[in-house]
Amino acid sequence: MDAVVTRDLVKIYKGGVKALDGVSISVGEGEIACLLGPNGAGKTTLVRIIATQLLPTSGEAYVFGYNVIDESNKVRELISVSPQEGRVYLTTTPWDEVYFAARIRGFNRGEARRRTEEVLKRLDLWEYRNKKNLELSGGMRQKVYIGRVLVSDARLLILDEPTIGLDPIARRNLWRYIRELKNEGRTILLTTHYMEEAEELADRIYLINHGRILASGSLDEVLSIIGRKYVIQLDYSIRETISDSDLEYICELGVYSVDPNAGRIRVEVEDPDKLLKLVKYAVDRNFTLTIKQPTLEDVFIKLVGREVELYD
Amino acid sequence: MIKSLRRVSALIVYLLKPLLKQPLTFLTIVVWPMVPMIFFAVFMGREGMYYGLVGMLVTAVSFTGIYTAQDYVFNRVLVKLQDFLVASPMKYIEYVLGESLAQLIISIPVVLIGYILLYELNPYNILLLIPLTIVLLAGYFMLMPIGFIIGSKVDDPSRVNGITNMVAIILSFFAPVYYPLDYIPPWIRLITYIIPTTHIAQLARVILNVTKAPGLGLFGHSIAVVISSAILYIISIKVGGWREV
Repeated sequence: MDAVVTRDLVKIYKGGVKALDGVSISVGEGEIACLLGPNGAGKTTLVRIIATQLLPTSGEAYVFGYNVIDESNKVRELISVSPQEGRVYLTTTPWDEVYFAARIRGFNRGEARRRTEEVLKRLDLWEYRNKKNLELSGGMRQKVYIGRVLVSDARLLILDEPTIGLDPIARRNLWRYIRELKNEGRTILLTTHYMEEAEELADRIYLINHGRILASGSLDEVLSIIGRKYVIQLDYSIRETISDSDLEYICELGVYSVDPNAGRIRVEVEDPDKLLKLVKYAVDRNFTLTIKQPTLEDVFIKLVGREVELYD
Repeated sequence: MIKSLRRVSALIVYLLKPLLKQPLTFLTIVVWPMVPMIFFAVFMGREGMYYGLVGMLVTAVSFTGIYTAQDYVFNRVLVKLQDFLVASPMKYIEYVLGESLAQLIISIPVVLIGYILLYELNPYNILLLIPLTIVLLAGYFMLMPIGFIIGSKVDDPSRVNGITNMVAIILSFFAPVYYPLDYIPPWIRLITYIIPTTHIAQLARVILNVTKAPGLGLFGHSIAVVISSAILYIISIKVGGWREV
């Protein structure tokens, strides 16, 4: 059974803003699915509908076969959510927050304590458990916030931008934890605008923009959208200006864009022979050359037709 | 049922913990309803103090439901606690109950002080505390929806304090809560009957046998409380919402 299914979801807010425009997704049980898109793409609206927090204007959504509108109480037994931009109280402690979340799930005191201890240890928060959240760093507070979701026994965990504010080490630790939860059979639906996060974690990726799904599938399937293509990055000294003749030559080899502030040219080449010519040219001109694998950003650029500011 | 009780009690403890860690805030909450009572005692003497004490009890208990509006807005808009709880097994009624019971617990010290001062002023049959407490709780249940209506409709946390305080002022000073009903000219008295707190204060005074103006009497004011409660709950169900539309 699929953990999440939506069909033609449309959400039009008061005032006429269309946040979702016929979104259909399907997330298998035990998968990590990632909604990737820029701010305002509709990610949060979609997860809020799935999480029974928001009613859609039209369309259907199911969680483990239960309709999120008519059977919301059954859905709520099966999910746990960390809303975007949520926070913990500053005057409580990590223990208070996570233990509270465990009790909300209906666990008795002993089980709630056991689970709270486990989560705090796995999030490296155990030694800070009795400190006020006010005294913790922003990243640690974010971990406490995520801990409230992880302490549950919910089959579907919905994490809306979970790694915002985390340093790279904490982010990687959380990724590891999320993979462990998947190995335990949990389904995870997360939104992010970090492409690296989607590439690292997702079994299934949904690229979303302006309330529409642009592409979906596994990482390889999504990357295959741009076809067999090499992305070359040429770095030249910013003290030099790149000549028109240089650009004319590069133009013959592939599609390019120049970032003069960074002293960087990005070239997309499809033909391997042209790739070799470009490599030789770069070596002759003493440019630093990097051949990159296509990324989700490249897919986005291809689908949207422009660079999308995924990073804030 | 057991899980439901666990959720409500967990929410109460969670909401009270920050407050208990800030004794000064707690003290302010306890002292605040006493301030008008002191004012009335100074300017109206013993009788004023007696009326002021009844007013203090009514506001301390009944208004706890109104002041939950601040929590609702804070939890919904700023910390997103409501979103977190909506997507959990917690039910709407459990949330409202947990929020308002937490506030009610905070009012217990004021109530105890009020009962003691009332006794010191004019010793009464202790058994009267039973109907008096029932009346105060009826006021609490009656006004609980007002907090939720404000909490559901106000999106700007900086506005909610002003709105709840304004509502509290109307309910406590425009209505004869701290002062006798017969201080008000008869034609205005009719208007005060629209304000639900008038009936709670009158019922408390009738029970304690301190009013010279029984107004609508025990039965009449009780009916008024039931009607007011029904109207407020209907409005809150129509206006408030657990899930956003």
